Amino acid sequence: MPQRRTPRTRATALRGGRRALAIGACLLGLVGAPAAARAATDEAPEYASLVRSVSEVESLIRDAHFRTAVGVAESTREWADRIPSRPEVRELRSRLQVLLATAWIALGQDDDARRAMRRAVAVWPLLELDTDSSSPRVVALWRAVRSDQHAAGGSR
Amino acid sequence: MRDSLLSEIRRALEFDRAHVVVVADAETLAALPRWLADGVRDEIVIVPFPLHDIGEDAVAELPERVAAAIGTAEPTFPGDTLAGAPHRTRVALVVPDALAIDPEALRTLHRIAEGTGMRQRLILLADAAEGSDDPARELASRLGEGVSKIDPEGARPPRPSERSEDPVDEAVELPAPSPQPPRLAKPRRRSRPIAVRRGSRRGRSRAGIAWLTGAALLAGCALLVPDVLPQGFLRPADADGVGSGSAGFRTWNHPTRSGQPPHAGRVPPLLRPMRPGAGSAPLVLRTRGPLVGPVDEADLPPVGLPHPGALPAAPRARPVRTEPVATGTPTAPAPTAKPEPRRITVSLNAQPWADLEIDGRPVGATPIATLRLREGEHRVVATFPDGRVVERTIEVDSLRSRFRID
Repeated sequence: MPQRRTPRTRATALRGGRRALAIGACLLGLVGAPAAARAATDEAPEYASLVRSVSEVESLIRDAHFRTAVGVAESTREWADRIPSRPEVRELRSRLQVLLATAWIALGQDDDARRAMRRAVAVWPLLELDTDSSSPRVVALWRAVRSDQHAAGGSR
Repeated sequence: MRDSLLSEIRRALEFDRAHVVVVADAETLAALPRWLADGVRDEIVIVPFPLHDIGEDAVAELPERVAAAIGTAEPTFPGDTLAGAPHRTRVALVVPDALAIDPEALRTLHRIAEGTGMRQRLILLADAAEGSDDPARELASRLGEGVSKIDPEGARPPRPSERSEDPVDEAVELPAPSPQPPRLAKPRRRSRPIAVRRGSRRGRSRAGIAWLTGAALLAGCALLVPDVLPQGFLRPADADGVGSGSAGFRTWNHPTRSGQPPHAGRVPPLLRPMRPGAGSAPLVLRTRGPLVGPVDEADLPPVGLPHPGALPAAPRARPVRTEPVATGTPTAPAPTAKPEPRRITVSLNAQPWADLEIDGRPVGATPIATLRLREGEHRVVATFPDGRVVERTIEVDSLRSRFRID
């Protein structure tokens, strides 16, 4: 004859399940934390270098050193592409490409600028430019690239 | 350090017409002219870059300083070539005391050298006395990834002839990402290449001598041939009525078998080329050095060293050649026209951005780096997106071509 669960036994079972869940989470934390920490420390220097390089390119562009900025941005891109892809890394890589596009626009190299902007949008499709603080030439290129990509996506 | 610096400068010179940029402390820079007195100094341009200047910003300025010192109007160091000076595309950056430089600045220097298409070398010298047992490894660790080569020759202890008082000097060499590796093994010629410069007095006199010698030889041959060569050696008339000589010339001044000259009654030319037009072929002077084309004096590397304190180096003005041309009729001296100021490519940026007018002419929104302006003062009016209007006067010359309007 099946034994019927009283409300008391149901509460006890619930409590036991929660306890098991908590123990499992703790175990997972104990096992996973060192691995996560190791991964973080491995990637931290690269990420920090990327942050520094992007800010360096930004300051070069601000001071109108466009060719130097292209040189630094291109060399940064080479090694930044090898950093494991995390959202913050992708966002920075996209930012780097926007800066590269800006420098190419300044230098009058429209094809190179378009290529860089395409890469920026491909790396970070959520890329949004602040239309107030960005040069209208950069914003126009970004809009053109985005509409190209939408058109390409729609045609597929 | 002194000997390793000098040997690295010599090695850099093997890097085919390299310009050597020495990044060093003031003491080293002051001593350089004295150290280089043994014949090397005539062949290089030292662009001094004092150590205390080294920092992120200063390193970013380095290309401009290099371009200014070697006399290009448009400093495009990180391009394929230095504009206007295609034969000067190789620069060696020699850093004698690399361990004393801020690692971040060192990395920036490396990135600039690596990220450009120019053929250049970055030679970092480190002294073991600076507190490291293994300077090459120390430098490599400071640079992080990207050190592609520890130069074993540079890392060797100096030869007895080069030995300095310092214990061990080591070098880390970072080859530039050029499509063709530099031919380091090729010994540099000590003398300047022979180049006949169009329009130069020396070139003209050389060409004149060559022409005169050639003409004299031809005339001599022409006079001697009939007398020296045996009769009938130059066959008289062929089927077409003219004979042919072994020297590739046809001759008409020998009697035919009939005893009559083929062109009796006419005055034949003494010598005539085998093919029409062949005689007017240009005289080709081959030089052993690279073909540099018409070279202006101003294009040649300056001789000697700029004073280390004279930074930034002033650009060398290109002199307008005013050699008189000898003509038969005396002419009145031409009125001296005021030379037109050079045009310089100007880069402008504003934060966040601005619409620019230069000398009353709208030039568009920033960023701009393709504007060609005459040397001198220009009035810039920047209209920012928030409605602010900033007026500024900029002075454009070969050293000042980048402006930030805030």
